[in-house]
Amino acid sequence: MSYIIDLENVQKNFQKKTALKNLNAKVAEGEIFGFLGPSGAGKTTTIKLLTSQLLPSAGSVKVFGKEVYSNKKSLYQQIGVLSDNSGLYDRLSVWDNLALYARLFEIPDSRITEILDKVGLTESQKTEARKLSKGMKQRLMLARAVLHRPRLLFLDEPTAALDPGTALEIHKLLLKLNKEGTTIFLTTHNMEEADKLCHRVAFLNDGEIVETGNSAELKLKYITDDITVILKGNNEKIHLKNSPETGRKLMDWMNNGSLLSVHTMEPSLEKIFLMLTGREL
Amino acid sequence: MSFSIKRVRALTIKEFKSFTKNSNVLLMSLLPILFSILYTYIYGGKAEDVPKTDIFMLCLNMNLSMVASFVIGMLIAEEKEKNTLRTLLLSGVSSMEFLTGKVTVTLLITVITNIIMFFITGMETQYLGWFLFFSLLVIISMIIIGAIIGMISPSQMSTGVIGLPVIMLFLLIPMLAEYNDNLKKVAKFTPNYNMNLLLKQTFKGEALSSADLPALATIAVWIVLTAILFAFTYSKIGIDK
Amino acid sequence: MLTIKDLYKDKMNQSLKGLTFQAEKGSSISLECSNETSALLADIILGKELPARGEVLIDSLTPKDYCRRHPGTIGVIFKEDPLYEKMTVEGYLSFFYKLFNSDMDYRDVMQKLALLDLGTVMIKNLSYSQKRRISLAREILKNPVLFIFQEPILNMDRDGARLIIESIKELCTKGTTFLLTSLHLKDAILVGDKAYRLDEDGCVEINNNELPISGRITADEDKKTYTIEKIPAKIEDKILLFDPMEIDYIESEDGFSCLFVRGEKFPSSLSMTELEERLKYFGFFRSHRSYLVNLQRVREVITWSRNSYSLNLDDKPRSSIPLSKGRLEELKDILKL
Repeated sequence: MSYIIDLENVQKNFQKKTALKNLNAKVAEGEIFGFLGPSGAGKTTTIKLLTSQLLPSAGSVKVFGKEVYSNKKSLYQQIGVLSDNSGLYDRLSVWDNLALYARLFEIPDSRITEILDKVGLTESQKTEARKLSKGMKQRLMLARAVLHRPRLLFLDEPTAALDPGTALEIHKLLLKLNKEGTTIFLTTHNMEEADKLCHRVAFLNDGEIVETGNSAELKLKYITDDITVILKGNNEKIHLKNSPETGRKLMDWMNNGSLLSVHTMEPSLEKIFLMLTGREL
Repeated sequence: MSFSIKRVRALTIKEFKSFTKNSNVLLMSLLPILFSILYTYIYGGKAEDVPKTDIFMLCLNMNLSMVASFVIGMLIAEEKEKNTLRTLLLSGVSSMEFLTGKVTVTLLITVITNIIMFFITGMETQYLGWFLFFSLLVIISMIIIGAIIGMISPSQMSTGVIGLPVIMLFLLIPMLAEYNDNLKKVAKFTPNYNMNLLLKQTFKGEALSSADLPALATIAVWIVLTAILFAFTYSKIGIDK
Repeated sequence: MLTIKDLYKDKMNQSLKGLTFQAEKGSSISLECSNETSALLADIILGKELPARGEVLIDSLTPKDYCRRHPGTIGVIFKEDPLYEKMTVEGYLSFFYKLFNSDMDYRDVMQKLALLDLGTVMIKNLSYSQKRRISLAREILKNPVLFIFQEPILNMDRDGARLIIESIKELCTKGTTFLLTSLHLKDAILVGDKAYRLDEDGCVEINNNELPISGRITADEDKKTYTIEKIPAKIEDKILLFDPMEIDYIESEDGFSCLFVRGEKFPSSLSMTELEERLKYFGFFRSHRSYLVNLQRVREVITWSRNSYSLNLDDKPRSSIPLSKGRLEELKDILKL
């Protein structure tokens, strides 16, 4: 099975520290894959390695089945990259910003119109980039990144500085893109975002992957013994640990008819991360 | 490295669009023209006091040392600062394509400005050809220096700092050479001063003679020197941060 | 591929006496000998010296003929392999890539040897381990059919040694024949399929064969007597007595044993079997025919391939002791893995 991204035993050292130690991860085409971790974990370094902005100290970094250093030109034709403050020409209009890239990739103007419609910037096409709101800027950058219909999209903390409403818009766009076949690799330290968007996630801490899997699997794997009980009458949620004593309490409640419901608690991804690393995101 | 004319064209178009909206750079480019208009107006009638040749030469040198070298430096540094350069690189644009775009814009602006000033100050059309030739030789060196400044400077601010000695050397020293023998000695080593000599002769209608060879040679040497310095800086630093 | 029969040669202080072995295509042979001796052998194989007696054939041709017909197909790395210190890694390898007109991408070789992100670093600023890998990268670009490598893993850090051994194995599967030489027995055992020892008396195959396991470490319930045990070693005319726990490991060749204590070597007159018996209850393990290891010192068990393993100790020089395949199971039992 060939993977669209294949990281094997990747190590990256800088002068003073080892940013990534023995990283292994595979992403299949069509997935939305998330790299979760606190700042400093190595997320941005990983994206830089995958987009050939950095070379690995050891190990193999393959995208589309080939080492990323082998043919950068063809790599860039097929990937789109969106990092923080990544390059809009402030003094140019929305249209002109996209036009530059359309010409660089030899794409017709009709595509610009199409993408503006998709991201909802058609009305602002003549506005200078510096006059756009944060959310609109992000949408413009996303438009630029997918103008040439890349198979694979890299996003480094795509909604980091956005308010929840704008973040939601971006999420919708990303889901739409993924439905159309674009594989998405994103990094984030926002658990909810990962939970919502990603098919699979990998937890990154201090340069190592501590766990990989899809959200549902992970939650099931790390299911704790906590249960939530709701009693009739006050509808209050009572959290209890699964134990013989709790079992007796449950029996009592059942017998006197006051038990409304019993749920096992699924841990959130956030909690799982905390369990695995002792750190919060 | 790849090089595609289409992509350079795309970049150049973007440069022009963005140039017209860049007030810093626009002002610097218009300054020589403004001066030429001003001086011609003030001194234009009394041709004997300040010959139009002198006015023109002054504005010409302003254009070459301030605009040709500064502007490209600022344009390059700006893209580095705002991370737009990185986005271009990630889209497959090569360093050479990027630089060619900047050079093309700077070259066109400089030459067009020169021609405009040529006519504003009332120079004679018959000398236009030779003028363009000599000035072009020096413009090449100036633009290369500007590219080097752009590669070295991490931000637009620092282009100003690094560029200041450049202006001193190429503008002020040749300008003040007439008034001070020591300065004249230094000025003789600059391409601008030598160009001035050649142009003064041309505008008088005199043809070139073997006495002009040293001047031409100095200008040519500067082209070679700056090219070597550029290659060196490019291999050590390049346009990546 | 490489056949050596009854080779005799004397030069200066080095001599080869009756060297005989055969290396098939894609195999690796280790020789335990001094570097001067292996240099002499290399010279003969490269056709620079003629044997006094005996025969050396590379693909059925004499070395001189072979080198004439197939120039540049023998890779050589001596213990001292000077590089162009002022060149960058990438500059150096791309130079040789062009020189050899190689059909390989030198970046692929760099990637396999963990040199990829050192491309713009000047060679003089690299560690010994990295420089050694550059030498290997350079020779790989030749796509060599025969490869002579002196001291392949001497003074290398763990990761570097692993990369080199993996590269050697990969090249073997692609058909390169390796002749690896080392002064140290354990290096020789670790890297080659077959190992030979060369000394003043000639050439002897080092036996990697399994020892009969029957009657080895049996649970002797009744023999729990704690006797005071001191292991003797001889230095000049002194006899040193070592506490078992001071000993990191013991190496034996031809009935002569050497105790390795805090990075130093001490010859002992006791045979391996005697030592094994004496140190049985002190936690020593016979990991290989020639090695007795103090298990307290073992930090890691490394798998190099399906058939070669080693124990990494945390002694002063961080030694790697060969572990025979058959012994692995036994070790797992003892350590209750």
